[in-house]
Amino acid sequence: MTVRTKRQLPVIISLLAVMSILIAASNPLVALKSLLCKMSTHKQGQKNTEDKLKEAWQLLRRYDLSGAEKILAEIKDKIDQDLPQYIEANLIYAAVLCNKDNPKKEDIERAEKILRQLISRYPQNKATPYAIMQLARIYELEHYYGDKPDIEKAQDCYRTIIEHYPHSPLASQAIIRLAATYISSTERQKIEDGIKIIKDWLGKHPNDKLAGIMHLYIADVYFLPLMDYKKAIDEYIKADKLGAVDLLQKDLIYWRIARTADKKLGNKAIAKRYYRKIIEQLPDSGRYWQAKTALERLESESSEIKR
Amino acid sequence: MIPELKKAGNIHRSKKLIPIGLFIIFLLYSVIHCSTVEKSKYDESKINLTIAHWQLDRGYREALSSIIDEYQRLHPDVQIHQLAVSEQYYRQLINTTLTAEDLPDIIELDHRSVANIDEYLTRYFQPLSSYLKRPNPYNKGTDLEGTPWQDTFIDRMRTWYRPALQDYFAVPTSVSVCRLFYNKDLLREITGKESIPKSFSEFIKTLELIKKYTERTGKHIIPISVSRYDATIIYWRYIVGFTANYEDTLDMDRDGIISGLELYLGLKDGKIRWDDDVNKACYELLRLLSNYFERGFTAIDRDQRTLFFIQGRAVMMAGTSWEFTSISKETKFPIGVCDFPIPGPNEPFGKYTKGKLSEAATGTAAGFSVCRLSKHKDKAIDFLQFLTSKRINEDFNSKIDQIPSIRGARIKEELLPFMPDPEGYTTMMRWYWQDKSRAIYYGALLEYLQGLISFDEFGNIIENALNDPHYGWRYSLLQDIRQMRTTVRMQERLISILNLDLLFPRKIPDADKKLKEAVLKQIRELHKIDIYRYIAKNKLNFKLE
Repeated sequence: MTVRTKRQLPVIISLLAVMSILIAASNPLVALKSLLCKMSTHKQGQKNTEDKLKEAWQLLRRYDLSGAEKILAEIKDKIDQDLPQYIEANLIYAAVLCNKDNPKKEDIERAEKILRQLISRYPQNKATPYAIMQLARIYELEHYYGDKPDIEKAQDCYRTIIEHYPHSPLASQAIIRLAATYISSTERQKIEDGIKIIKDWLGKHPNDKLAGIMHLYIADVYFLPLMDYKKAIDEYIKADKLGAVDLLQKDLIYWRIARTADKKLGNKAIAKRYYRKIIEQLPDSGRYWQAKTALERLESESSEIKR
Repeated sequence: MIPELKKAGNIHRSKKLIPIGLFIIFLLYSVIHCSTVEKSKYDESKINLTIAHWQLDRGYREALSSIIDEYQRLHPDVQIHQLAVSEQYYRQLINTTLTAEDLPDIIELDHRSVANIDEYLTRYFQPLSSYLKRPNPYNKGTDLEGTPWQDTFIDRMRTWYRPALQDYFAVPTSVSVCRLFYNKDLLREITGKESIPKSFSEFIKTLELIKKYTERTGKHIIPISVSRYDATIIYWRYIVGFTANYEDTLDMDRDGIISGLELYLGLKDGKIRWDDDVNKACYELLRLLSNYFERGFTAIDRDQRTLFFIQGRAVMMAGTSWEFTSISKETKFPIGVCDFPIPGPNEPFGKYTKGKLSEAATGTAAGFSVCRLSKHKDKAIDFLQFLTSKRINEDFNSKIDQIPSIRGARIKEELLPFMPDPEGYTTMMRWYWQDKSRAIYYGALLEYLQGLISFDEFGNIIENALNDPHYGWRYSLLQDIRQMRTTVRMQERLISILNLDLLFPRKIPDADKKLKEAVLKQIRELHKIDIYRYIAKNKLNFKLE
């Protein structure tokens, strides 16, 4: 071995060492590369899913439920079950199946299965009461020819929302729905039980977001079929104070209050107040002129009494 | 060939070439002209919007063009093209372009096209509630500055609200009101009167004078020219005055409408009878009035009835504010306009009529929608804001001789007789319930008005129709419930979507308010079904499956 060769030996050894290290490290590098690649694909997939979900929402807003159904059917099982989009896609898909035009028995059964899975898998998720509500609607409404509503099952679902998720925004909707299952009876006692459900809730939650709607609903029930006009008018006035009447064709409710107070209860003060509301607030109502003449009549009656 | 013949042949050939040459020149001219016209019309560097409508009345297109020009001066980057199609083909145009998803950017909403069906409306047209809540920027400097766009319309857009979709899909530009037009010259010549009397009995005397004039002179003059369409409008204007008497007795739910169910219950409980004095008086008045319409008016269409009036063959005509200008431009005689005279307290029929039809709730008309697929939705909405701003709407309606749809916009003096009159009633009672008994009612009504059947026979037909085992009250009750269930399902869909939107915020505007409204409307509709079921069981002894 020459001196020159001897000098080059450490270099060769170090090169060999580096090469062996590189060879040894090549597998983890491949693994790392593949991991990075996988992550990016996953991210890409997630992005695609998010885009598709957005697209489904756009279609939903246009009430194009069949378009949304196609997209959701495609993505709902591809999403990682730990991601919030999984619950979102599945819950919307179930709602679409129930609310699309002419749903078939299979659609409703599929929706029920999805909803049950969501409820059992994510009992504490904020979406769970929504899944239970959708399930209740499946039981209560008739979706296809031959579908038999199961009111008791629907009532169980509403009660579950009220008792287990009292702070969910759906709790007050569930109260109205539960009461409605009783009010829809043709028996007076059951109708009164329905009213009691709402009144009890309102006693505990006077500031409920749907309180105005609840008062309006029980006012309607007192009006017909119960024909308890005094209670009906009291409830309409409460609903009016809470702004619920603004959600409807206001003049018709005001007319109902004024006319009933005038003709059925002889309560001229309420009648005058509501005739005046029609005249002042709703001059473009078809009831404007009638309210005006009725108010004039009541006022002339009062002045005659004074005289 | 001899030279002469050759020459003649050449001349003959060149003569043959003349038309070909002319054709080529014409073709070239056409191509060049078309391309330049296209270029000038559709300037690709600008935002091009198309507005489609069926208003072919005189002056409408010109008026719209001048508004468009003004808008284009303000927005030089925008070009708006009018697509005016006759009423006959408009529906086809909309249906076809809608199917092809190639709708014009702005369309006048036709109530008879598929575009007016909720499902299509929501899919192809832009919901406008979020825009309507904001002030119309073009009202700056007027008393409407800062007022939400919706509140600037005289009906606050009530006419255009779609309850099942909880939104608005069109903005109106004008108002339409029905009145009696009269030929002033002819009226003076025949009756010596300058105007139509306001008193009902004097009105009937005037009509009688016209009828006698025809008998006396042999000149065929129609007292009132109506089409089958106007006749129904006239009838309802009078019927309301009589049926308003039944409101307190029959309108069980006090919603201002006597429904089919309320009518039937009233009949069953003896609260109302066909031969009640009020009802008898009502139909006698309609029969009396119909004596002065052209014989066979049920087969006359609107164009024909207008023609009779324009040609001076009719003294009066039932018409709308929409037609007034185009008709006055066509006629050589002055036209008067008045409301339909209503029997007063001391006149025949006066004892039984409460008053006239209230026009307080007269809605707005000629609504324009924006296509959802338009590339320039915001510009299209901006143009509609311009068109419905106080100054422009006043100017536009003044040019087309219509009543503006915007509060406080001035109305032309000659249109003052068309101003909606709030005095009167709105409660109608129809002697039918649902489609099948409706068809029977109208058939019998026309037979009665033409004197083919008596009042009692008319009543028997009506009562038999309501009690018919196939299409009578049972069928109608079920039909009502079916329709209510459809509404419930539409609301259910809406509630479901809105609930999900609040859970996974995807920002549907006003989702919270819309949800409350949908829940309330659905629960009230369900309650209405309950009431029907309750009444069916307890009052009609009819169990609903």
